[in-house]
Amino acid sequence: MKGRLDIAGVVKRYGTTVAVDGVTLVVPPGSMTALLGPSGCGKTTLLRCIAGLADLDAGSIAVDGADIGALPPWRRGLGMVFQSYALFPHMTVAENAAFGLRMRGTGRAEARERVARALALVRLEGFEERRPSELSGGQQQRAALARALVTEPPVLLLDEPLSALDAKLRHAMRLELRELQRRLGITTIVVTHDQDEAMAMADQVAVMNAGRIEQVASPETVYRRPATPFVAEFVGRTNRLEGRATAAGELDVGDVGGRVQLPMGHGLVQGALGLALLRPEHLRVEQAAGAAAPRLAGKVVDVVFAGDRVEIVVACGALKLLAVQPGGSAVPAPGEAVSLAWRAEDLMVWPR
Amino acid sequence: MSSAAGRRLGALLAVPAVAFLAAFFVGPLLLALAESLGLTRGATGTGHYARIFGDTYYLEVMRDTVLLAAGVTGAALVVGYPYALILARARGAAKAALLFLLVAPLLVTVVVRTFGWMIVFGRRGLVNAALGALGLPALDILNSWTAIAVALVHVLLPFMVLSIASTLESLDPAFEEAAATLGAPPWRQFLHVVAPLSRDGAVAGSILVFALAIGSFVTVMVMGDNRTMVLPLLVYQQLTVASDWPFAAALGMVLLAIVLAVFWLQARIARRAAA
Repeated sequence: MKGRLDIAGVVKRYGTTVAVDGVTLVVPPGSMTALLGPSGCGKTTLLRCIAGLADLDAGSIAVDGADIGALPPWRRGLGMVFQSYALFPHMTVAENAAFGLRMRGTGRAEARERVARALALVRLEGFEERRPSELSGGQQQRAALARALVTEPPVLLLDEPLSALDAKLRHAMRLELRELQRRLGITTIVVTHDQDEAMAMADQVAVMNAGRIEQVASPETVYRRPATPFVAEFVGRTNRLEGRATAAGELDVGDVGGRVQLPMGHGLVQGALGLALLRPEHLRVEQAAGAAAPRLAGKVVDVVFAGDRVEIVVACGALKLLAVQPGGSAVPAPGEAVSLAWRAEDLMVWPR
Repeated sequence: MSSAAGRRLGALLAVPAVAFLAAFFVGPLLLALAESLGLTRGATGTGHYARIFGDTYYLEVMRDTVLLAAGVTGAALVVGYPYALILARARGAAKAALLFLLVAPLLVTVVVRTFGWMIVFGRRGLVNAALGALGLPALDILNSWTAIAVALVHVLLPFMVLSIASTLESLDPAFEEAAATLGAPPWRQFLHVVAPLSRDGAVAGSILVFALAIGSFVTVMVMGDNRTMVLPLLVYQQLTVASDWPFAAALGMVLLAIVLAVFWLQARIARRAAA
């Protein structure tokens, strides 16, 4: 399969700011990789570096082994969908879609056929003569997709492709994009700040922070075994416990006035400062203190019904911890004394 | 407030402007029309118009007037577009300097500015001094259409540049980037994307420059001679020298008709191009 993308040691500076700080990433052929991170983490700059819209200060970018890092964007032959779609307003949908072929000097008959195929691919048949201003947001996005795909590029770049759509459409387009990408088997990089979007679409997620990649892994691994506290806190919600490791393999958490049992192989030496993170869905709220599990005693502060789940806020000393339970389960009342329990291996621990 | 009341208030707020235009623009215009037809002096008729259209001199002046305005507009477009491109992309101090350079001619009164050009174009002026230094024969530029056109382009350029630059600045840079990723090198990005998307600015600038150029007479009067005659200068002479107000009014009406005809033609072409 074609379309392997190798990014090695890419650095991009703007004045004294380092936007991308030595990123190395391999995107396997035919897969979809999400660049996930907060705004300003360098994910869009990295995408622009791949497209050739930003010059590299260091590093290399190669498609199927051929270095394209020094080529201008018009000679890279990659497909890109912009956040604003950037459909040419003075051209019809068909003219927009044909633009890439026109630049390559493709014959008229062949171009018409390929445009028709690309528009069929994104289900825009019958919209050929419309102007972009006469399309809905979702249709504009599909037109931009058809325009990027018509030249059959080895790599497709998507810059926040769903951010301009409303919530309902966003969910539908997410699945549609994924399905299209799988069907074409086209290597795709999608930039997003939305963790749900990244998880739902990508084969591999690269979590970025301050110009660097913190972790590259499958969505499941990124969620279940985050490599850094940043990844754990950015992907999904967490409760934070900070304290010192004791000789007995516990974390002495001053804020909750108690000790928390550390999992096996936690890697903290005695007396070292540690950070422990717990996912809300890993916390069980128990009315009676059971045995044989790490737990903290606390008092229910707030209970929020969120349809398919219940969010329970429990005060443990000076800390407020969030527990999430499936909707319909037995729920304590605010003010009630409870105990929060979890499995030792669900506690994620890092040295501070 | 209901929307109907809002509309009524909006209409009410427009009253002063409408009254002003009616009193000082539409009124005098109708008066001039009446004057040109002799309605104010008893001898009603189209005699003045017959005189204009029956005399090759006036027809030639009309032709020269339109050609001058068209030439100035064309030159301002050719010179102004690249300037607007550079201005739209400049930042900070460079942008401020370019803007100042552009509008500087508007800060100088027309008489001083025109005398400046006379110094440049005069018999022993800058241009001829430079030609002389190169061993080339001197040119008789002053009192020519060329000199007048150059001076007009100089002062009207800001109107062209600013209207083009404002469209260029509002253009999403993603359009060019999209064209680039689709295989368009810079010149094709310009040809297929930037130029067509900035057409409205160029058209607006051209209309402004044409209207201002066809109505200007001070520059023509100071820099030209009796071989370089234009309609507005003719009107001016009829008013001040000949004191033939009805004839001056008729000439003014013809000038107005020419401008309206050109705008109508332009709108027609633009519609056809868009369709």
